[in-house]
Amino acid sequence: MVRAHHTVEQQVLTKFPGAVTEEEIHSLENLRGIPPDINTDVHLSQIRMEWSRFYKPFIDTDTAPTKAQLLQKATEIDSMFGSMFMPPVGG
Amino acid sequence: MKYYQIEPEVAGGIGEHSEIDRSSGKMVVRKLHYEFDGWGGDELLESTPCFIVSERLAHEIERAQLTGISFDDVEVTKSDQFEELYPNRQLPKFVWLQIDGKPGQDDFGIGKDPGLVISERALEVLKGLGISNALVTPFEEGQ
Repeated sequence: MVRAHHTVEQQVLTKFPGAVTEEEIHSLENLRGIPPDINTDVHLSQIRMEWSRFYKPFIDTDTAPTKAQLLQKATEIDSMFGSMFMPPVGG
Repeated sequence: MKYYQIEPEVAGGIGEHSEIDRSSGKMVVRKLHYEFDGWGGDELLESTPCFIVSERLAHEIERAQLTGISFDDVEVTKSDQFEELYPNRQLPKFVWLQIDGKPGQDDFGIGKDPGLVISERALEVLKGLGISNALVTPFEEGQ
């Protein structure tokens, strides 16, 4: 069974309110399919750490990323891990 | 004493039941809700800017009298993604690890640039219970 993964994380709504809308977070463009693979969670864990590194400087400086910065990071993560998704993204 | 920068496992995120105060212009978490999306098994976890530890790791930290920290309650839940990936996995009890120590001085210290810095003896305590998914690098003074 393929599960859904939010490429821009849902917690952006909590950490940086106003940066993106709930509709944008749950939009089809923001969803990736996760295959039922034993290694999937290893990759998802690495993705969470990537996002964590991205959030830190904004939280440290009491600022918030723009939507463009979030989408740029999502594209970067797609290029690193997109081959694991179904269908693959970020070629 | 040697010190190390550590990037803990990120097993989930700050949940919607958290209470976040931005009245000062800073993000201050008053009540922490940590929602797990997965779990690689580490007992020190992060969701920027918060850290949680398992209750048994908290006991070990207290027993070793490590400095720069205090503990508080955390609400822990599992996301739909967690339930789908691990329908039968139980989580241990966790507590909120609040860090107010200085990097390179206390056993746990936090700063803007270095992030979380721990002493060698803190690292030994953490390693004893498992931090295999964390990234640990030597910390140099002045970083």
